[in-house]
Amino acid sequence: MMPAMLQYVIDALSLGSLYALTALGIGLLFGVLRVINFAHGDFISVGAYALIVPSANALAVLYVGALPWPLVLLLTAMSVIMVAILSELMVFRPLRGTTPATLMIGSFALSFIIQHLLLMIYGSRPKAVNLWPELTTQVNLLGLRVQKLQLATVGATAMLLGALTLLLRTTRTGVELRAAAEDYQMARMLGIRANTVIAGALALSGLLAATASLLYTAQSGILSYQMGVPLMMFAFISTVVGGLGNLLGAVVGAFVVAAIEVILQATLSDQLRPFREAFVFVLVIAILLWRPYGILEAHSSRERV
Amino acid sequence: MLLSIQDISVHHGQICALRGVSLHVRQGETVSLLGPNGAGKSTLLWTMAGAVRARSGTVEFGGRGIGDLPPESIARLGLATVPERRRVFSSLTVEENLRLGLWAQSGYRGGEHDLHQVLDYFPKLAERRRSLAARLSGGEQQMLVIARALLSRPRLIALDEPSFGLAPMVVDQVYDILQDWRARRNLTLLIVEQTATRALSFSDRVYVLRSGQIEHTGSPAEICDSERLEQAYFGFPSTAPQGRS
Repeated sequence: MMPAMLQYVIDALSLGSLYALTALGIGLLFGVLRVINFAHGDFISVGAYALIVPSANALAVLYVGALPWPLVLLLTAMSVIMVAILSELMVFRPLRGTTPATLMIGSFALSFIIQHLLLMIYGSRPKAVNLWPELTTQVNLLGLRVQKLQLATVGATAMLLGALTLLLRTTRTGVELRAAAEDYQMARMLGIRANTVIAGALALSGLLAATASLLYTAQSGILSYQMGVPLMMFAFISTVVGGLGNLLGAVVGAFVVAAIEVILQATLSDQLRPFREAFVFVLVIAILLWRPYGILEAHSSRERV
Repeated sequence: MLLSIQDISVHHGQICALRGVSLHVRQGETVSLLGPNGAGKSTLLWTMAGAVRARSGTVEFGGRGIGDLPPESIARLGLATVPERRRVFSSLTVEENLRLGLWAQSGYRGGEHDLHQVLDYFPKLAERRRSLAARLSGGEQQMLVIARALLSRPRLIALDEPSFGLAPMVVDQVYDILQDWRARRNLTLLIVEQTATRALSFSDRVYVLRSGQIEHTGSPAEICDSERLEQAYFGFPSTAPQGRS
C-alpha cells in the first residue's frame, strides 16, 4: 500500500508541476493586465513546435530540440517570449483601457490565430517527437521505479519557483511587479512604468510557458496544434481554485487540482474513469462553493475597513 | 502657481461628474476641497493623477500641461496622490511599500537617509517594517500611505479623505503628522474631506464642491461666516476656526 501511495504522490507532484508552471504564467499576466490570457496554452504549443524543423510533413525532425538542453531552453524561451511580446504589441496594448470582456475576447482571438498559424505551417496531423529520450528511463527511488522525467519535472519546477520567488521578493523589479499585480492603478500613481512592468510580466510568463512546453513535450511525445489547450484549461481552473490574483494561490491550486485528478484516476472504477474530468470539475465547483474567492484569497479582492 | 486647473469637465459615461471646475494651489499652501458624498471630489483627484481624462479644460502642474500624461509620468513630476481607502499594497511588507515611494523619484540619492528619517518618525511602522501591510490597523495603514507619499519627495501631496473610517483620536494623529511635515518640508497640500471639522482649521483656503461644481471658495473663516446653511451639513463648530493652528 505504501509504495502505491508514494507513486500517487509523485504522479500528483509531477502533474501539479506542469499545472503550476502554466498557472503562474497566467497569474502573472492576470496580475498586471487583469485578463485571463486564453492564448497562454498556445504559447506553450509555440514552444513545443519551435523544437522541430517547420514543415507540414508527418515526420517531425528535431532541430532546436536536438541541441544541448541549455540551448533548447534558451531558444524555446526566446521563441515564446517573442510571440508573447508580439501579442502585447498587436492585441493587448491596442485594447488597453477597454472593458475586461473585450480583452478576454481579444485573447480568445489570439488563441485561435496562433492555433491556425501552427496548423498552416506544420499541418494538422499530430507529430511524434522524441525529446530527451534518456529521461524516459526509470530510476529506483525508495523502492519505487520512477521515471526520470517526473523527477526532472518536479526538480525544474521547484528550481524555477525558487528563482521566481527570489526575483519577486528581493529585486526592485520584483517588488514593482508584485505591487502592480495587486493594485495596478496605485502602482502607476507611484511612478511605476506600466509598459515596462507588463513587458517584464510577459517575458516571465513566456519563460514559464517555454519550460512547461519542454516538459510537457518530453512527457507526451506528441505535438499537435491544440496541445496547449487542455493544459491551459486545467491551469486556469487552478488559478481560480487557488485564488485569482494570488501567485502563491496559483501554485497551491495547481497541486490541489493535480492531486484531485490523480486520486480520481486511482479510485474511479473502469466505467467511470473516462468521465474523470467531469468529476474534477464537480470537485472544483464544490471548492468554490466552500471558498468563493479561492483557497488563498487575493489580497486585493476584498478591502479592509 | 504650482497646480492650476482651468474649467475642466469630466464624464463617467453619460453622467457628468464635474462641470467647469477651476481650482488652483500655490507653492507652500494648504488647500482643502470639501463637499458631500458624490460631489465629484475624488473624480477631481483622479483627473489630476491622470487616471481619469477630462473631456475639456486644462490641468497644469508646475507650469506644464499634464492633462494627457499617464499616471506614472505625473507621479514622477512630483504630484503624489494618496487615494481614499488607504491603498496600501497589502501583500507587500511595510518596508516594500515604503521603498515603492522612494523609487518613485528617479535619480535621487538621499533615499536611504530619507527612509531612516521616516522610520524614526513613525516608530509603529519601523517596528513592523517586515510584516505584511495587510496586518496593520486602519490608522497604521493611513500612516503608511502618507509616509510612502512623503518618501517620494513630492512637490504636492493630494490626499483623499485621510480621516476616512478612523477613530477621532487617530484622525488627530494623522493631521498632527501632516502639520509636522508641512513645517519641516514646506509641503504643499491639497486635502479632500467630507467632514470639514479638522481640515478647515488646517487650511489656508477652502473650496466647496457640490454636484460637480465649485459652490464656494475662500478662507476657512469666510466659508464659516457665509455658510450657515452648509454648517448644519458639514457639522463644523460654530466658532470659526482661525486659519492655520
